[in-house]
Amino acid sequence: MASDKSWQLLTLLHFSDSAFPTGAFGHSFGLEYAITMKWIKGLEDLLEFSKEVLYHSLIKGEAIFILLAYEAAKKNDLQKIHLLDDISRLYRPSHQSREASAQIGRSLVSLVADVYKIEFLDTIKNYIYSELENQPIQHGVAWGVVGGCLDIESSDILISFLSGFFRQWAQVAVRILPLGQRESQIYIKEMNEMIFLEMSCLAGQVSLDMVSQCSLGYDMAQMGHESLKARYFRS
Amino acid sequence: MSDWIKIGIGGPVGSGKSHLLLRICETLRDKYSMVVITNDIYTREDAQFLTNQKALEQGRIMGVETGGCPHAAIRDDISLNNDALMMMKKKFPDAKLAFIESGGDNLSATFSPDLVDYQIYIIDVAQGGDIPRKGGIGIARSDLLVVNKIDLAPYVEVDLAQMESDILAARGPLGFVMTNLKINTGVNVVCHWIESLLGDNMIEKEAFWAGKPTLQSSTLHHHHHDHDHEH
Repeated sequence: MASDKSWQLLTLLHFSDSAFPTGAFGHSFGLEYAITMKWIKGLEDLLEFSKEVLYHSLIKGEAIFILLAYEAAKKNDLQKIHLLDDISRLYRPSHQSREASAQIGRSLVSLVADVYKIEFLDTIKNYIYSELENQPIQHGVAWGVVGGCLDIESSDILISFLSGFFRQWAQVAVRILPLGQRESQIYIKEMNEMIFLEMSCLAGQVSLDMVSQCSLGYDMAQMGHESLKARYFRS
Repeated sequence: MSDWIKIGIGGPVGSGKSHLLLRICETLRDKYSMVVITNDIYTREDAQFLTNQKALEQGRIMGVETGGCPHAAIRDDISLNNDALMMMKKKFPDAKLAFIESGGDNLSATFSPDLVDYQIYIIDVAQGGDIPRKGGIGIARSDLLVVNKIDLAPYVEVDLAQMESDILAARGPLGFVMTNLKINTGVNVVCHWIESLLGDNMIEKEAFWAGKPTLQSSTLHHHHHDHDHEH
């Protein structure tokens, strides 16, 4: 009954669970600012904002880094992973968002390396802690690397990242917006439908040339968050 | 255990966590290489307080803005603090003591054993004399309980003897200290306890407290025996 596919699924469910401790609970990636500034007042606004972020930032940016890092990890290509991490970092204009992404990425790689005992992940972990001042390793790149090392299907690894991103936003919205638990689950379901539709954009081979992310509202929200005086999330 | 001792300091808002850390730093900083990580939900106020007070030299105090819930950052998901510790260890490889001050929280907050080796829990008299009776993991299981602001007891009508008796009932042989951090009362006992945890001076945790005047003899004998007589 149980197959390799079942094992992959179990592994994916393990590290993509919001209870997997990577520090993600402390970050809002700009959503707190967007809510504070009243850009987002309820479910409808949140869905609209999220769909823009999904299409113009995640699909056209982070998703490509995830897939390329996944391929690099499959080939144990550390040099390529360095390169992807450097470029991915440059696409984050907000300093704190870059830091936040790196913090989550570092924790993810370190913990998966400790728990699953994969040699190549250990190599990356050592690289991370020898280069701490350069803020390795961005979350998306780390996610792709972990997926590649654990032999999860690339489409599953991508879907789980995107869905996890918006599930985290649902939690943020519940904490600081009058968004009830029922509405937050509607939000997640709607976003899952959008993710499912948008995945077709990434069918076939991907390359760095395809990176064209541009979502000014999202970037501005992340930058604005750095100057919020009293805030519930880090960035 | 790693080559440094990591000690968590937790307790409710305003109980004196930062003040205790300041006193510890003042007493031990010339003897040991130390670093401090403070947790705040919204800001890095506590790190700023310790920096302004020159508790340690520049760079040895790091503020972590935990966001969300402060207890999550020390227990359920320690990534933010672990990351900060890694950075500090890289910067100060000779550090022998690392302190992690939690954000102010409720009585159920406690530190993950993955994050710290020992934990100090601090409460203050003005929060109510019944706190030890209410219990909680910090009260019952911390390695050291500090009861601060004992000078305020008469003003808030707290009976310190009753409080002590409740603490003994809640903690058994685990140690506690009554302090007034404003004038350094009890600080030496806390620092002596910390030094007892360090390599060369290693003293068994329970043995250190044996014979302390604040502990009743009946409680002292709750330690585990590896001999076969009765006390």
